[in-house]
Amino acid sequence: MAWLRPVLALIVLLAGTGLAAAEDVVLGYLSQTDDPRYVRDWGYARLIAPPADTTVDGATMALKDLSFVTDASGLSVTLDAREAPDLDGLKIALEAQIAAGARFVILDLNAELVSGLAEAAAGSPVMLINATAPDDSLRTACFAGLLHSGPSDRMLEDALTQYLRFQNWTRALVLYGEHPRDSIIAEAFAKSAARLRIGISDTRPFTLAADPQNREQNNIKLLTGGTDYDVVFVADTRGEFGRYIPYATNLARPVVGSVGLTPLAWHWAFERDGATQVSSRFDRMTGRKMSGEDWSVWIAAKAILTAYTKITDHSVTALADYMRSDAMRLDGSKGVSLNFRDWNGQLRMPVMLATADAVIAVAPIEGYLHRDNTLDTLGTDRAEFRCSP
Amino acid sequence: MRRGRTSILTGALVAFMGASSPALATDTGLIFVSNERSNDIYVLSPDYELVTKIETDRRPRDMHFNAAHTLLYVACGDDDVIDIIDVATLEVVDAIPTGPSPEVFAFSPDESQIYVSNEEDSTLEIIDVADKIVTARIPTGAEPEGVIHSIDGKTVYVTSEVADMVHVVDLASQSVVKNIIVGTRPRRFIVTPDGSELWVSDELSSEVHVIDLATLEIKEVLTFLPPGFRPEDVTPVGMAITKDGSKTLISLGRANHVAIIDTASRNVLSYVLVGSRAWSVDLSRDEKTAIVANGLSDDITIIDMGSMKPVRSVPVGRTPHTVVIDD
Repeated sequence: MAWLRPVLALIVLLAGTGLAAAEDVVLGYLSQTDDPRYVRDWGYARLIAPPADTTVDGATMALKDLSFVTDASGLSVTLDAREAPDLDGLKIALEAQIAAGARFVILDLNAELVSGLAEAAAGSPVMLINATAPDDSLRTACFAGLLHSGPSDRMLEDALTQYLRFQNWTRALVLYGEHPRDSIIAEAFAKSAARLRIGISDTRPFTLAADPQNREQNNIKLLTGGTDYDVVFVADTRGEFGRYIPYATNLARPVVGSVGLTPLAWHWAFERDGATQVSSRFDRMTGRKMSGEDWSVWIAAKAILTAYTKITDHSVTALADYMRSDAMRLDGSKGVSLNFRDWNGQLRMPVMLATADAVIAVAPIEGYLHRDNTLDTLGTDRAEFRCSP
Repeated sequence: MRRGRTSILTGALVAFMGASSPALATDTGLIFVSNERSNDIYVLSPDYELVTKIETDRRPRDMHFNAAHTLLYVACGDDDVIDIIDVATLEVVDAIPTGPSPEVFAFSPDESQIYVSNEEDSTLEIIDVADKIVTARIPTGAEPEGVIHSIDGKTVYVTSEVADMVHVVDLASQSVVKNIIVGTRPRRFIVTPDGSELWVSDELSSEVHVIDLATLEIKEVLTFLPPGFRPEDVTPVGMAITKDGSKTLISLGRANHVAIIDTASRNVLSYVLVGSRAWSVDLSRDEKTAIVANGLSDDITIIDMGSMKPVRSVPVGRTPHTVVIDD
């Protein structure tokens, strides 16, 4: 990237002056203008509070949370938040952020945009952190300059199937909608179910239209009839259909997945391990409840700033290596320390299984063990992981 | 206790006046356990029978006696007060208002001041005990927790769980004079009886940082690993040290053990199996017994210090936070 060279030269010059002034750290944040994932009238049934229209608050809070330690470490941290409507615009914004000195940029973007930016940024001195695109395809793409601070689909579904196994709900009926992400989620659930030997009695698509000729796909009674199961798994990204499934199934069975019991990075009702303080700080700052997406942005910013304060070599490579090592013991207020997996850049973390207003369980569920780190029972494990760019 | 505070206050006045006489300190041997989620304090007899439950304001956590052991002070996080319990009558007799969500506190050596960490608004407050007013409010990193003063009473140390640091607060200037970066999620303190070392438990990096109080530099970092556990299971929080400084107890949280160590050599003498998520730990005055509160199994475990073995576990209220012994 030719346009970078003058910037790099400038930095070298500045470093050479040997001034004892505070070190400037620019933290980048990129989001999509009017991101359709956050459109309110899709009715995210699992949230009582209105969904976030921006997660930048998570990064702002992390800067405030850590201001004491960054000040004490002689770091002057600024947040450079930008948005653009499409990939071309985002690429320009990212270039501007790098030119402004950003070495880490947090992305609140869908998988396609994350992938596009990661490709464009290959070779530049920047580490991108994907906070809110759960797609496993981004993990297996193995971009050298990309970390993931939000849970992957597979991690979320592994959390859920651990709980199903724990409850001895061993046969699931899988329902999925028309949104492209619905099939991806259903597929992640199927892989996860296979690992824990949860049977799938049937996999059925649903549609929103009420056309009586298509009632096998839009009538919940029929959709959940004619087969036996312990639990209904729903993959419904928009949530518009899924919210009507609980209490309407043919058999009296619990509903999990996108509705009912939902696997999440964070839920405001979690009250152990200092979680209450994080949620209430967020609530006071923004006037809304902290969502999983907000948490993923918060922890990304926290991870970056923690790395800056814990090690002295502040090159992107050294910082990212530290974040992917066991030396990183990051506090996400979930009771255990977190770090990024060295094989795919994914942040290890517990996953909450929550209803609208309560956290029912936190995975890894007690009893699920792993030879290296219990958190690696969630998501594609090292031994089974393959890069497939 | 939002309900009926006035009646308690009136009824309490008599008891309070009586209790303030030091002659009433009786070394009852009673064990007090604050329960965060059931909003009460369990009072157990020296043979671990339940004597009574004292209802407190919401979310009672850290507790300290006055020197005479006539009054027990309890920080109540959800009602922003420190309740005062008369040890003779086992009733809440008074309360001191604090900032939002008081968690851990310490008395000044002359008991005229309380230093309290308010985890919701990230301050260390200094409260005048007699006047019950806040005389100073010192900003800290987010989620301050552990509070302790130096033996000469001139300095207060506070942890910030989010900023991963210890703030050194000079009381004369009422300002932070130094920040010491320690491990992840620092929680509690002990000061060695000779005043030379400050120990800090780091819950999420599984460490204890030993700070040299002469230089305020980190002198040593201790780690613990009971057999069969992984480093990340070890989440040290509560600590206690014997009066002669020879032995230190460190609760290891999710590793469900208390480490008893030889303070001088740092050697682990024993890992004692206790309940689930062991937190606060306290020693009896004769130091023959230690008691640890197990936050996730809602019980306390009694440890015999002679044999360094657990003797028994006793059920208490929901989410026990702190144990203190009146002896």
